[in-house]
Amino acid sequence: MNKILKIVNLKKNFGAITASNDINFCLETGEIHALIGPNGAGKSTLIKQIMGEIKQDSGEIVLSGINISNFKTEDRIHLGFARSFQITDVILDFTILQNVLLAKIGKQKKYYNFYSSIESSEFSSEEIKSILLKIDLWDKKETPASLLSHGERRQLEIGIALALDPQLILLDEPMAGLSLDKIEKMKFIFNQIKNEVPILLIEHNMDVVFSIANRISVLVNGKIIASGTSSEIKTNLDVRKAYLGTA
Amino acid sequence: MISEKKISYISLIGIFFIAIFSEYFDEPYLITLLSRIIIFSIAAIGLNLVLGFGNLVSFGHAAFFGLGGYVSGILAIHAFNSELLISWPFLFSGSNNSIIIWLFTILFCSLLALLVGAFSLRTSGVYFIMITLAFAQMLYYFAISWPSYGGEDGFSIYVRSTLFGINTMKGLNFFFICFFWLLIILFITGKVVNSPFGLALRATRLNLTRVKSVGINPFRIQLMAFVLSGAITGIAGSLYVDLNRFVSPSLLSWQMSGEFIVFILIGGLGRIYGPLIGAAFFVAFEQFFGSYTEHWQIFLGIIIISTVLFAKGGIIGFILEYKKNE
Repeated sequence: MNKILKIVNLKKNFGAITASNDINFCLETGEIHALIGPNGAGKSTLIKQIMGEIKQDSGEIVLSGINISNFKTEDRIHLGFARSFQITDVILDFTILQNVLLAKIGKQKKYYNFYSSIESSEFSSEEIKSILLKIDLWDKKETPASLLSHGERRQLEIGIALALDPQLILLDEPMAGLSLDKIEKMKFIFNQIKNEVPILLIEHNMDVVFSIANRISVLVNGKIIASGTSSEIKTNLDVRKAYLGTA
Repeated sequence: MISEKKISYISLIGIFFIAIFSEYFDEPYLITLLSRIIIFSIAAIGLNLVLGFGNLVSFGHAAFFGLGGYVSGILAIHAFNSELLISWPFLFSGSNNSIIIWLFTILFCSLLALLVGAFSLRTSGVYFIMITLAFAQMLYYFAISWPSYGGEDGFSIYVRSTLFGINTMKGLNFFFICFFWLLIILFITGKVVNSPFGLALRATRLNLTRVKSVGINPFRIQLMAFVLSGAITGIAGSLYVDLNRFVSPSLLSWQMSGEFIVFILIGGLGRIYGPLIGAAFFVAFEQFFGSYTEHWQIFLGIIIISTVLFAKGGIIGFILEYKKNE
């Protein structure tokens, strides 16, 4: 197993509040690694530091052997971070295809191309097709995102993330507000793509986490108190006490 | 089934043949009007690139129109009088060659757009409107207080610039030059809007966070669009001065910027051919109602209000919607 993302002794304080307390953790190839924790545990702060939106006080973030602790968000994205937002954030006036193409254009730095048509074969490649097939939206590719259901927009978000040809995908509560059958569909999609790109999953739905995560890390009060497979986490006493609420 | 493409082709061919017939029936005034429509639409097409596709409400595009006009006029008047324009590091006394004039226009207007864009694109919304207006007003007052080139009165350039030995003083020939420019500009904007750059530009209008999150710097995209937009509007200014053989500070006035926005709104915001339809409508409207009353703008106001309230897609949008419901 290759460590794609490694976080070493990460610390972040906001005044007297410790948001990240000496966090160590890693994401390996082929896995879905879930990060769970009660509200206010510091999950968002951790994600923001990983994305470079806020700067850590100390510690290191390493992506495939490169220390990116001081990189800007934009540079991290170019290096291979893809993130799906908590609030669904696709471009509503664009079609599914255009949304995915925009990401591809951003990734390939083709945005100074003034002359090729986006409908040309150069951009509507097999790669785009395979992404749309993976997220199960190929049949609807000409549909404006505004006409999609909530779940389909989530699928599109994953497609956009994949188009960025990422080294890893950060999914921030991808199942929030989805119906049960949509959740099953998403689980299927995640299990398919995790072999190409590892997924760091932030999720409140414990059933989802326990059923698809290969490893789970539990964050409480800015500290990772346990890390392991779902059965290990389920039986871990500290976790039960601090998080699941039953001692 | 009528499509946006069809409306566009019909209007282009229509304008072309009206010009030919006007020549045949000896109506030079009509040809001048058509040239004006074309020049105004080129200016507004330039603006539409940032306003319609990038949602950047520039209220100062007269700056580029006027600068294009002044650059062309100054080059031409120096050539006409054989007066030195610069004496160092080489001697240069202007030019009456259209190609050279256009190259200078594009150069100067791009540079101005780069400067204006670099400042104003750091703001958005109302602030963007005000800062672009401020730049244009600065140029306007500079032109008014610049005695070497006529100050408030402007100056005449007597003859049109020359192009490949064509007699540009003949109305129809000059119309052809304008028409050719219109085709080039329509082709370029059509290409740009459907290119990856265009997709990114349209995305900046809709969702800035998303644009950033796929690794695109929206500021640079907007700045490039602004420069291209300024250059296109500058070319229109250059042609306008040539058409009238007269340069005046009114080219730089805020009313001019406002009119460009009106062309776009009437024709159809964010549609490549919108400005052409809008400018044609505007000029025809002005001619028709202007012949009855000097207060014709009252009627124009009613049109603008109804467009904004009932036909947000402008004339093109209205026709398409109407045909769809039929």
